[in-house]
Amino acid sequence: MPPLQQLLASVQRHLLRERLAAAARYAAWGTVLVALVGVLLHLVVRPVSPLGLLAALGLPWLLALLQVITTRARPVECAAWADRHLGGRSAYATCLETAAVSRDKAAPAFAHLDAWIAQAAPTHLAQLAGRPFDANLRKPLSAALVCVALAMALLQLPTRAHPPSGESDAAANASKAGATGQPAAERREGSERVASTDAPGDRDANSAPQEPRSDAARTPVVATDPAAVATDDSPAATAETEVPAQAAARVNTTGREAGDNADTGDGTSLTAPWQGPLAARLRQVAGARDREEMRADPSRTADYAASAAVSSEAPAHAALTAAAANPPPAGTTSPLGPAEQAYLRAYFATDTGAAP
Amino acid sequence: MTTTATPGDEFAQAQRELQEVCATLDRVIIGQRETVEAIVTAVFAGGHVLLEGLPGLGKTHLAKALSAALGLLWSRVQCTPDLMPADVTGSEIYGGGRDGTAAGFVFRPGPVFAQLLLVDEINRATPRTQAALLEAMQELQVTHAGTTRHLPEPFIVLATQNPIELEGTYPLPEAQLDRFMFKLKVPYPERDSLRRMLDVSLDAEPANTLPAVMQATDVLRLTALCRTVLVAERCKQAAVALVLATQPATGPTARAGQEHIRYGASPRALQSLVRAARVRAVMSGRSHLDVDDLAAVAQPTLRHRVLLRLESELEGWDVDTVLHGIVEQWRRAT
Repeated sequence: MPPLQQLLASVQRHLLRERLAAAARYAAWGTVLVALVGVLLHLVVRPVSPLGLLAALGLPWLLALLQVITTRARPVECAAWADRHLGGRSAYATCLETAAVSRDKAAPAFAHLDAWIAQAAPTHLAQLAGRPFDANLRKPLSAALVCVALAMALLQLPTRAHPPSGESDAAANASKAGATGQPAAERREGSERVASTDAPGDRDANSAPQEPRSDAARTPVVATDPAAVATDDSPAATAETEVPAQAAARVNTTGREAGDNADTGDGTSLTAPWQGPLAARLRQVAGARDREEMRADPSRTADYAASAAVSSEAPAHAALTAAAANPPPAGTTSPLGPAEQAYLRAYFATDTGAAP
Repeated sequence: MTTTATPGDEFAQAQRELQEVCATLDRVIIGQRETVEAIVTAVFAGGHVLLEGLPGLGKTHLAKALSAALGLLWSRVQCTPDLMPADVTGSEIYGGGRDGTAAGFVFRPGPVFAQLLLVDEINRATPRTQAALLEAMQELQVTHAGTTRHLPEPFIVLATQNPIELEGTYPLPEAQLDRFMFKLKVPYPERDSLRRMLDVSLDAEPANTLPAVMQATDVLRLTALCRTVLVAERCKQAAVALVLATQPATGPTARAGQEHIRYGASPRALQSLVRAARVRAVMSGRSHLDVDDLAAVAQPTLRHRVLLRLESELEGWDVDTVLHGIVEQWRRAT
């Protein structure tokens, strides 16, 4: 191999080593930066998993490796480097540039240049071989290792988004109870709507009395029966009382965990209006009452007298919603039940204008 | 670095010859090594030199020694305010009629018809005379009475200037200064040089007995050889960058020294820079140009082509200091 090509190949290898060392230095400092950013994110914004941080730490190294692979020193650059750092005095660059040029015009100059390179290249090769190479990686690598170790340790520490394990378990239980309470309330309301539409045939007849019944049934919930609130010690109520605490705890936290999102989870998180004391008591009462109590029992006939006595609005509703009915024909063989008797009394009272 | 000469290696031979010329001149010109090398560089680059120095520093002696060493025909013009152009270029006189020749006007060539012309105190000549001389320098010919007469080759002008006693003088305009390749400042010799001068030139004029180391044809040959020196693109870009660095500029993008410059170097300066650097490369034993060669000839090439702002001159800035800073910064960047 001609001495020029030998020298250029050696310079190319040397430059590749230098670029690898520089890339490793940049990657190490990039690792430090990524570790710092990861720790800041974990402490301030949202928790960062150690695996995620490790994956991010590999990015600077990957970029550095790609840069070295994609950029290689060209022969012209190698010649310029040799001219500048090995004492080539622009001989190598001149030789490369004039390689494709006709040598007839300045034949003595080209001959002298070739002789000069043949004499100087071995000396420059030896000079390059003896040139000390210092990758200067100790400081950046040690800084990177220390920062990564610190970052991994910091990721294990509890933050406001991740309280200690006892508090986190209680919060998790409260969140589960809230998850069962709220949907139950929603289902209760839905079942009431379903019960009101269960019997289409009786819809017109029973819609008026059913509305006061549903209102009567619902009123104790809205009016907040103190007896029910004070005396009810059911587990559901206990769980419901924990919901505001858990909700309050969740409001005060600065972080979120997976599954807490109301859009993606099971709706266990409570919005602000449902975190107030009134709503808490509502849920408490709603959880205390048995679901079956609110559901209409088709096998049980309605007790108009009882419903009228419970609610002061019942007579008004009854008066407004009383509709013409077709009572069964009276007969000695058909005994009248209490409801039928009450109906007849009310009917005759309205017809004659006399009190029943 | 001196390469081992191989048979037929013209550049190695040229290096030896140039070094021999410098060594010959060093024997009679004491303590002016850099000036001697610069003059030899300009001569073989085909340029003219303007020497500036105090009286008695050997400027005339240097010109005589150079002509003797190179085997050139030399002449001298002492400029005074009453010097006429015809005194320099030549004139016609009525003569003849002797020895069978017909009587008539005969052109008598002036001192400009020499291979090495020494023009002493050129700033004392009138602008008209200066113009006639400088026209001859540029065109290498003299036209008189409709007849063009070519000057001999090589044609080298060494002009001198006295930096003191400037009263009644006619400083060369910048356009005329641009025709000189180099402007050299002849320094005052040191103590040791003065002591040796007594041994060399106390009782005799050594330039009168200096042997010639080459002839005019050799000068032409070496000049042609220096023009074949290879110039890489990197060196061309560096030369252009240096000339551009001498242009005036202000603001945050201005480099060091540019804020003091009123007029910068011309494209002719760029050509002179590369031609002179080529000779330096040959003197160093190379047939290819290097950036160091450009740096070595930058100061003498640009000194008389860069004009400072009046405010900077009043503040005490001189051209050499400004150019030194520009060249240093340019050298670090290349």
